[in-house]
Amino acid sequence: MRLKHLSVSLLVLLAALFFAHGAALAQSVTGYTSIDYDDSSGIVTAYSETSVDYDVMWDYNAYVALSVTDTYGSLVVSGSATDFNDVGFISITLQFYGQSEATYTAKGTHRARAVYFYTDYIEEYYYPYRYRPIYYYFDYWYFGFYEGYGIYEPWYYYFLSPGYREMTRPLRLINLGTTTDYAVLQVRAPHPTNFRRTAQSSFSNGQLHFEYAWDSSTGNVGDLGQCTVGEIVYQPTRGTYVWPKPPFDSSDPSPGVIDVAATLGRFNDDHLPPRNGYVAPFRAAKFTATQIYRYKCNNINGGRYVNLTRTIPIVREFYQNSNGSWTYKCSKSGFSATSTIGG
Amino acid sequence: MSKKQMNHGGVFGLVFLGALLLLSGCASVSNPDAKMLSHAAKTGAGGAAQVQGVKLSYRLASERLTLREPVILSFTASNESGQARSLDLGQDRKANFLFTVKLPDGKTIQLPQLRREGISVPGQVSLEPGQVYTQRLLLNEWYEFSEPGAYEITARLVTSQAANSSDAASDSPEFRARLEIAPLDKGRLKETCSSLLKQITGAGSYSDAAEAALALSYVKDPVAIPFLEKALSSGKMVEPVAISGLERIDGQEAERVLAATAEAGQDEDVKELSKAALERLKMRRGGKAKPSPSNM
Repeated sequence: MRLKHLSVSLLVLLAALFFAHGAALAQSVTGYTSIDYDDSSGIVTAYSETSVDYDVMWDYNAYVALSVTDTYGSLVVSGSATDFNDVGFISITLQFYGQSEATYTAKGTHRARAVYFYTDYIEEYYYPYRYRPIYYYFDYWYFGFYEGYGIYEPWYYYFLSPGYREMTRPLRLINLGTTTDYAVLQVRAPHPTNFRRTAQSSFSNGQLHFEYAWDSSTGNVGDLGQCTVGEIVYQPTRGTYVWPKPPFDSSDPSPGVIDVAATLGRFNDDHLPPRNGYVAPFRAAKFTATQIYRYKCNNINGGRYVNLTRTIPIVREFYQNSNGSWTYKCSKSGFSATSTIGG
Repeated sequence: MSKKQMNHGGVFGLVFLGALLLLSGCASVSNPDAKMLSHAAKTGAGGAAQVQGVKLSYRLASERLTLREPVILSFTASNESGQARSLDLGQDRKANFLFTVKLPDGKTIQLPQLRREGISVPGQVSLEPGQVYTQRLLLNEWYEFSEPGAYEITARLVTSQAANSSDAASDSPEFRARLEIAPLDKGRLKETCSSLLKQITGAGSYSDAAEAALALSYVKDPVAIPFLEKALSSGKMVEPVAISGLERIDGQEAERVLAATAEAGQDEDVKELSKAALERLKMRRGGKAKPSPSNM
């Protein structure tokens, strides 16, 4: 059983607190529901189970119902199961192909059910209920009275019992306590994960070099054919940003957007010194660009970018040293590259 | 022997047609009729350009083009040695290609290596024995080919700073080819653009779409505008490439499309890119941008 993704478990304690020894017995029903998506097969698996304690399993049967609705509340799949073997546990698993970007909600319904033996009731079909059975119960403990009242140990109630007599019910089963739990899943198509810096280096010309890598949510970057990974870089002003001149002789588009195929699984990022070098008269200068790494997949987030990092400052500065020479310095993520000019 | 084929689909090299002449029989690419760049100096006529057991070959998609059609050169590296080899193609798998172009007027120019700020595809390519690597290079990224006439192109893979002795490109030979560019033919150019748009819209992956979009974005003619406009709304994530193409074309119609996209683009990024491109166009008309004041 795969319970990989989000799963919501709910412990439902159906305790008997009405009478002194009820608490001691502490009969309970436990419910658990999960929903999971398998990237490689595209299959959604919904699962729900109900357990009843040993103390009550002889008198009650575990029952579970599971339904899954989609983003719009439409029913996708449903089913139910009852433990007729007095093992105190029942589960149900439903599977279907998930649609990308859909949100699925699994609802588990957990019950302890009193089920009369065949000798306790009679089924009849008679006019005008030709097609509907009417059950004549010998409801000695009057369990049917408690149905729907949230009372879970009706055998301790002796009041108002009409005693042993025939009772007419539309259903054979008596539900003694019902609770529900939910699990929610958002299906996402294969997408980049685990974006990370793998190496960095600096060069004497002031070039700062980084290497990054990422994985696929499926474990195989070859599955990322519908995705890109890239960057957006904003300079201090939009359009074309001309570096402070002097001392720099360079410019950059702003924003600068570059994407590469996500199937590559890695890219380099180079922060270069001014493209056309430096111009006199030298003077101190400093400016900061901001960068965000991000990905985009056709079938995720409506085809819009999803950020992989927070905003990263890229600082470039030019300053004079005590010996009269000048230094160009580029810094990012705690690393820097410098180049000495003149002197 | 069945060779493993490693096709570097899209990333960044694309190339279109160019017309390089093929001189001797070099290399083993799948299409025997393909025109191959000749391996000129170092290996002699008829010799394959092989370095450390890796056969390097180039092939123009077409040796006869009309003006403003993309010039595409296919590069193939085939490891025919018995051991693994590496190849460093440089930043974006383009920076280590060195081209010279002899122009129709007889002047020869050395094209600068492509290097740029920002993210790029790592240039290192590993080749197992028997493995073949192919890549398409869009020569328009290096040179505009803005005049009709006969061009002569030489190509060479150079070793990058970081390359080690096992790099197969460390002593790469030079290839030479001729490209004939006929005067502008709007009809043919339109067909080329249409074909590229089909490749974009029919692409099964981003790589394929990006490769075709890059070629389309270098068709520097108003004929390409409606195709770039369609590429913008193709849903193939090539908007930044298409916007660059429109900016390259310039002119009122390109500006109209950029303005419309800036106003009602599919998302904020596309709008912002369009706005920035528009600003640059206006700046180009109105004079150079002013440098930013030092900020200390």
